[in-house]
Formats: sequence, C-alpha cells, structure tokens
Amino acid sequence: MMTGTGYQLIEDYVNRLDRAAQVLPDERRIELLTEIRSHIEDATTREQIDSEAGVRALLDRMGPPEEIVAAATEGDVRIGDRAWPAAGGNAPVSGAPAGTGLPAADRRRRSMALEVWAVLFLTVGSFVPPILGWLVGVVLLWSSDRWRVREKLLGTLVVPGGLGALLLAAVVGVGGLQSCTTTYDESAGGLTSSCDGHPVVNVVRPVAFILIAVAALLVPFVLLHVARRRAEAETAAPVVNRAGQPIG
Amino acid sequence: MVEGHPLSQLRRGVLEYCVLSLLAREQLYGFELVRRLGQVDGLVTSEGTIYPLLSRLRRDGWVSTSWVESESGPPRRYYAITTTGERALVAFVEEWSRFRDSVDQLIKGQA
Repeated sequence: MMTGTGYQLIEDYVNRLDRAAQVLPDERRIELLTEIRSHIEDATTREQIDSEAGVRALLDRMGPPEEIVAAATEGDVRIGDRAWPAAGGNAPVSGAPAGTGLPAADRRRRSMALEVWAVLFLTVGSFVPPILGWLVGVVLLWSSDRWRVREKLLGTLVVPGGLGALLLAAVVGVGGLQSCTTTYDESAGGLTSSCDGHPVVNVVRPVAFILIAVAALLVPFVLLHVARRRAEAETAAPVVNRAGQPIG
Repeated sequence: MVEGHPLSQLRRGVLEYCVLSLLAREQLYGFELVRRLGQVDGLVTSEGTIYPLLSRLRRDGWVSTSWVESESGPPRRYYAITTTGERALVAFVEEWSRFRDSVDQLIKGQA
C-alpha cells in the first residue's frame, strides 16, 4: 500500500498542475489533468510504486507542472526555446514573439491604409468629388494585393459609380421605371393608386433594387473584412503553428 | 536565444513523429506510449510533456482517441494514428533520411 505521504505528494503535484494550467481553455485543462492523473495511477500500479522515494522519482520523471503547461501553450504559439519563465504566472498565451511584435503591427497598419482609402473613395468618394473620387477608389482597389481578382471585380461592379450613383438610380430609376398615377374617385371611396406595367415586373423591380442596394452597402464591409484578415494572417504567419490555431 | 540542451529544439520537432511511428504499429494508451518512448535513450526528458503533444496531434487530426474499458481502474484513452497522420509520417520519414545523411556527411567531413 502506498503511504500517506506518497498520496499527498501526488495530490500536491496535480494541484500545482491545475493551477499552472489555468491559462488553458477548460476542455484542454481537464483533458491534461485527466491524462496526467491516469498516467500516475498506471505508473504506481504497474511499477508497484509504494514508497515516498518512489513517488518522488516518478513525479521527477514527469517534469515540473509548469513545464508541462508550457509545452501545451507552445504547441499553439512558438515563441522561441523558452516561452516564458517556468514559474511565471502572467504567461502570455497568444502573444507575438518579443522583438517582432511591434514591427509586425506597423507593417499591418501601413498596408491596411491603402485598403481603407480604397473603400473610402469607392463609397464616400463617389459623392465628393462625384466621379473622380470613385475612379481613384477603383485604382486603389486594383493596386492592393490583399484582394483577389474576384473581390476586385465585386468592388468595381457592385458599387458602380459608388453609393452616389446608386442614390441617383434610386431617384431616377424607381420613379421612372414605375409610373403610378393617383386619382381621386368618389365612388371608389377616395384616393386610389394605379401603376402601369405587368404586376410581376412591378414587384421584381423594387426587390431587385433593394438587393442591389444591400449588396452595394455590404461589399465595402466585406472588402475591408477580407483585407484585414489577410493582413493579420500575414503578420501572424511566423508565430502560429501549422494548424494556424490561436490558443482557445 | 536558444537555451538548454543543444538538441532540445531538434528533439521537440522530431518527437511527434516518433509518437506517430509508435502509433502506426498499434494503438496505445498514454502510459504505455510514454513507457516505450522512454525506452529509447535521450528522447524524452519530462514525460508529462508528451500529453500536451498528444492533445495537439489530436486537434490537428493526426491522431484519434477512443475510450477503452480496462480490467483495473477507470477506462483508458487510447491513441491511434489517422490517415492524415500516416501521410505526415511517410513524408517525414523520407525527409528525415535525407536530412540525417546530409548532417552525417558534413559532420564526418566527407562532403
């Protein structure tokens, strides 16, 4: 039978591991604790460890709990041979490597400026100055390497002439495409409206217009989102492991 | 920059493929896997660090796990290699032979 001290040593070890593993997501912390516990149980049974010295040797072989947790976090973000001081409680979980964090952030800020200006010119720039602003936006859009051809086409075609043109289309288009007349008829009980054209066409037109409007409003956001994601992937590439998963 | 044992970085990179090659033969539970790795000299320093490695291999889809009842005590988590893991292992073994030969050649001054 194992001595009380032996049990106590194991409990202390597992508790220390639990504390160190607080930086891990719950699911992974529990998985790690379960596996380590089961390893210790297997070892004590199979190797018939019952003395205090035996338990100490076993735990020594396992390694310091902090080192085990460091191995768990390094699996996600490689930041050199030693991730952080083994006893450090304020371990960075998904930080950029020291020394490269700042230049990387600068690079991202610079490269995102082009994309932000492109979207601004495509949208706001189409009001002031009307056509020139949009043209500048298109040039900027096509000179960025953060967007694929598909997305550049989307930016060029779905926002044709920008929101300004769309607004123009709203005024001229809907009014012009659908001519409605309102008449005052006493027998019909007051004001009645009647519109020309096939009823289906009358339904399709506003629906199509709304769809185009929604797409035109959405595309700038999609473009910015895509660009930001690519810029982040670029700066994150050297520190994230092959799975590309940030911790958690 | 690099502290500790001169081979610590290299060992860390190679260890997962050692785990995969053990699992390519048969599925194993944690303790048994660690025991076999421990039988090879100089491979594992802190046995506990194998478990975070196994967890990562599982999340990367190179290894799958299943719970198997044991005659003594609670059920055990068994680790098995996946097809993706097998492919990664094959690719590594090929690269490794080339790498090992190149290093040996340079060290022995036969280049």
